[in-house]
Amino acid sequence: MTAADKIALATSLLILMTLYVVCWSGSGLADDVAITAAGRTQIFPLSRDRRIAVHGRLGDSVIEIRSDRARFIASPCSGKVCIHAGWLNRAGATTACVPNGVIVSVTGDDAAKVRYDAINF
Amino acid sequence: MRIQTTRDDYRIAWLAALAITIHIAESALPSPLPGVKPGLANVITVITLLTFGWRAAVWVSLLRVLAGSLLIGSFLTPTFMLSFSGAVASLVVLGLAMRLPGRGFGPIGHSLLAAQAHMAGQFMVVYWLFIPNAALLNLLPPFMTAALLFGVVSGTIAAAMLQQMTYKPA
Repeated sequence: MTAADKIALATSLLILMTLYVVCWSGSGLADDVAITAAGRTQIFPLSRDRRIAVHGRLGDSVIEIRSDRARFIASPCSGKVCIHAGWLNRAGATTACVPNGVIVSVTGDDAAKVRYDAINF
Repeated sequence: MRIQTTRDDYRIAWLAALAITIHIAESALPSPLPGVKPGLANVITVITLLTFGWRAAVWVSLLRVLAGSLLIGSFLTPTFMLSFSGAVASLVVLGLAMRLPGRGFGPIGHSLLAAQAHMAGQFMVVYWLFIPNAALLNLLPPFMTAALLFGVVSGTIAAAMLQQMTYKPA
């Protein structure tokens, strides 16, 4: 290995580490939650903790926003799949109460932060 | 009519044949990530560059991409575009790297730079032509890691081969 080889290798390693930091630092965490019910979509920031009740086909679904995450805590469906989906915090994550026609999906504002087009469980 | 061939032509044909053989053998290897492969044909390019100069390396590398794709059946497919753009990018970088004054780069440095240029060139083409999506950048670090590792590996192989070679450039 010549001196230039060593410098090339060291520089490459440095650039590689920078690449990891730059390309992988996007947290991929969501900033907002979009709640769609009866064909109407409302957007709420995840930064403010709150509970939101929306009217669906069967009745009210309750969505809780806490610590930058969102989840269903109540829904008038029989399966409760939406509640079992648990917390959503990664940009792109989506869950829905299909019987009640309510879709909850968390989104990030930065396109590069979105690591998935959609996530379901 | 007889085409006049020179000794250089034969040499380039031999080296290209070696590179094509490696290229095809490698294309049969399974890979954990599409796009990541050892790129051992790089060894031949680097040896050609250091022994017979940049022009010969350009011939050997481009002949490998062309004939290799014809034999595999990937000519003008995206796979071919990627091979071709990678080869062009690494040849450009090799052309610049060998102009470094002083002792310059050895086989490992050349191979390392070529492998990284190959990967970066391919990546740009993928981004421009096939998947213009920011999410693609998430793949860049692991791909460049592979390029760095395989660049050093094939450079080490090239260095060992150059030591065994009796031919000394004029």
